[in-house]
Parts: sequence; structure tokens; C-alpha cells
Amino acid sequence: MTVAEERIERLAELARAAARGGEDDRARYYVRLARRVAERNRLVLPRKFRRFTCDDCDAYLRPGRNARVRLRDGHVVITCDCRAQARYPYIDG
Amino acid sequence: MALTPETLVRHELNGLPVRVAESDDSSRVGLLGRVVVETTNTLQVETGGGGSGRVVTVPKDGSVFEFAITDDAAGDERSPGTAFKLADAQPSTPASPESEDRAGADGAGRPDGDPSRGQRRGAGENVAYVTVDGSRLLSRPARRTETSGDSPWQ
Repeated sequence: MTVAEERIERLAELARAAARGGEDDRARYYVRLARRVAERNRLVLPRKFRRFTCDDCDAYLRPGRNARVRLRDGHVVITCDCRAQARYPYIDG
Repeated sequence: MALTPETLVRHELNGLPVRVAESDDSSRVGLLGRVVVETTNTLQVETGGGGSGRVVTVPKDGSVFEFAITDDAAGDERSPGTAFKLADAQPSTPASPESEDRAGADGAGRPDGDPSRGQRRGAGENVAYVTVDGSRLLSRPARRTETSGDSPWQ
């Protein structure tokens, strides 16, 4: 595991902790920094990170707090407080 | 590449417990807290715990930082008081050899385990204290990782 991968992991943790503590701007800063590190090192961000951050405003999403999660036919729609929507599929179990 | 004294300069600083060992501004010396925001030229240190503390901006240039590395540096909430007192009793690293080391290493590639890369001290309970001259951290936060990569081609 490279330093860059570990940085991204730690930044995701920090972002989540900051979002839980109500410091949304700081969580945003950590998310942006993690994205930048991934970009510079040509890494794919972890799936959990991609699904729990807003592509538009870089907020760390906490379902029920600053994100709305709705199930549609075959996919999940997650709506950030900034009204950006992300969709990803789910498989009926 | 875990967070070790060797990789600290390239690793994530946000979230690490830190003590300002030396500073041009004497009022910042001894400042104890956690790094919350890093910019190119400064570290913002949150003193006191749990988001209630005050955030102090410390310039990297002209400061010497002492980072505490634990096995789980990101997650656990240690009580910093006693552990840092132990480190306080020890003499701190002079700034000049570190900057020389950096200048020389740029061309030649750094040998592994070079003792001048950061002073290491064992202090029990899996905590290591690493003293780093702030001038070695002068970089954009996202670019610090790349200054000497893990690639054998560099």
C-alpha cells in the first residue's frame, strides 16, 4: 500500500469524523484533499468514498442528515443538500 | 508504506497529534494539539480536544514540529499531557543539519534509515515522536507525497 493510498484512507476517516462533529467545511476540505491526492497519483478512490461524498459540493454525505437516499427501480438515488443527485445500481437480493 | 518516521514528511499530517517544539514566535512554542488543516505554508493546530478547542495557525517555515505517531494515529484519542511531557525533557534537534540533508538528498536519493531524517525516540505504548523542521514540509499538501516516490525509477 502506497503512501498516497493510505493518505486517502486517513482523509476519508477524518472527513467522516468532521462531518459527524458538524464541521461540514472541514469535512469538505478533507474530501477535496483526498480527491486531489488521488488525481495526482492516478488512483481510483475507494467505492465507499465515492458513494458517500457529493460530486458537486464535495460534502461528506450522511444519509438522513445531509443526504436523502431513495430506492428506484434497480438503482439508488442519493440527493445531497446541494440538490445534486447521484445514482448507482443495486441488485435485488 | 505505513506512517513511520521515514515516511512522515510525505504522509498525511491532518489528524496527527503535534507539539510545536521551536518557533520564531515564542508564544507558539509548546503549543499542543492536533493538526486539522494544512496549507502550503502553514499548519492549523487545534488545541484542546473534541472540536471545542481553538485553532492556531502556525507557519511551517521557522517552526520545528514534533509529531506523535501511534499505531492508529488517525483514530484514537489519546490524552496528550503525560506523553508529551516525557518528550519535553529531551533536547530537540538543531535545524541546520536537517536542511542540509534535504539539499543533498535531492540529487543523490535518500538512503534508507538515515538518522538525520527525523529524530526518533521510543516512549513506550507504541508512541514514537518525530521531530521535523517545518521548512521540510513547505509544499502543497497534495504534492508532498510525490517529492520522492516509492518508484524505483526515481
